[in-house]
Amino acid sequence: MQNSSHTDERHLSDPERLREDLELARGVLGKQEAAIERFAERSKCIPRILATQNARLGRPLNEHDIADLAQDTLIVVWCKLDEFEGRAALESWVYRICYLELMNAIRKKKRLPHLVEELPELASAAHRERPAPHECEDIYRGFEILEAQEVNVIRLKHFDELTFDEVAARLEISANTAKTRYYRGLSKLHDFLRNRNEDGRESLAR
Amino acid sequence: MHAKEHEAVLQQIVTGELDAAEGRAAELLAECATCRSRLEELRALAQNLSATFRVERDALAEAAGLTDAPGEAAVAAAVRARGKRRVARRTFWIAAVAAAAAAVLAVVGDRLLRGSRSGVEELPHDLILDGGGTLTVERPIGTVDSYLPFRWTSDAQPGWYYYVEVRDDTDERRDELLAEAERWRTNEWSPSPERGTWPDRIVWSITVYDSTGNDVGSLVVRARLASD
Ligand SMILES: [Zn+2]
Repeated sequence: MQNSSHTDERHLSDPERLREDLELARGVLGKQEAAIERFAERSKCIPRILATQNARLGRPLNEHDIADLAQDTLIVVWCKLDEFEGRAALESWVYRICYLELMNAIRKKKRLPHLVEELPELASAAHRERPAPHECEDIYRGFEILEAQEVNVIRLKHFDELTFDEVAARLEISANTAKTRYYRGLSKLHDFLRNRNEDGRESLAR
Repeated sequence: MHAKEHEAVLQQIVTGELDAAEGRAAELLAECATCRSRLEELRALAQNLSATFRVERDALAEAAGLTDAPGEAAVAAAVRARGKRRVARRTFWIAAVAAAAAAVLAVVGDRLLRGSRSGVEELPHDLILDGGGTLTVERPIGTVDSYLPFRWTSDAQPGWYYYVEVRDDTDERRDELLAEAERWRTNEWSPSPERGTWPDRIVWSITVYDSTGNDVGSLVVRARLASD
């Protein structure tokens, strides 16, 4: 239990940590008691991430909503757990799910159009210091259509800020392969986002 | 005119192998408008990716420092309950299946359902929930013309929810999951598909959870379709 998210000081992409996280996920799927117990502690990151993001978005959801959404998100996390490959720390992987679930929940409350006007983060989006919530959301949704190996390279490049040589070493592939996967992923993501934008920011209007 | 070969050069620019301001790259960008706009957009996207992940890193650091987010104890409890659930359920299936197999196979009509001694009706259709109140299954029970809808009554309190699952109860595919409903909040459920794809015998269960994710009671019920 010393391994709960906020006591683990290791970097989110520490390879040893990633291996442990993958083992943990497999243990949970195998219903191993010790793994379930550790996962119970680690899963607290779900409401924590939701609460943090919700606060950043100006608290469109109340505490009760967050507690409720945390339960729903847990189910999504659990159902997708067999897709977890240990390419990112469990918390990072959960973060993306939380983000999308939170945006869905906010949209369900029909508050997003109103948010768009009011969110301070959107104002700064123009400066590219911090992307707008829907921009992050679109990128995460775009990841879903990419190959896992493309997302991995993109993640190592932009989350871990590695060079292509470092990415290649981490994934045990050539630097050329890393570059090809990166460019392919980036191009697909670009096309996905363009189509999404052409759909008239339908997600916002819904 | 944008050509396929241009993409290879764009890749080299984007991945830092070529400098956009020099040599072949500069020439290409001077002559192809598509390449120019594409490069600009890809660079903006790369910046956006970095920014998105920066938000993610900050948010994860912030979330890791949080200790009393709403519902975190309930989430941990739900994980523990879920971890136990399937294991306990499995054991129960085996017991229930064994009981059914041991029971005399009788032709079961609706009127025989309660209080009779054969397999189907040995499973209770109501129970007292932990902490009081009852859960009663209404349908489908025993021989029915249609499985749908699944319906029950209960004294569930606000914030409580159900987990319902349906499994195959035929000899060929016993225990195969057919449908499930997570965190269901109403007293009726109509999963698809209907007859035709579902077998002529099912066993289904309903579990009641309180708002903190604790299992407060569950029932297992058998049903079969009346033969035409
Ligand atoms: Zn071109």
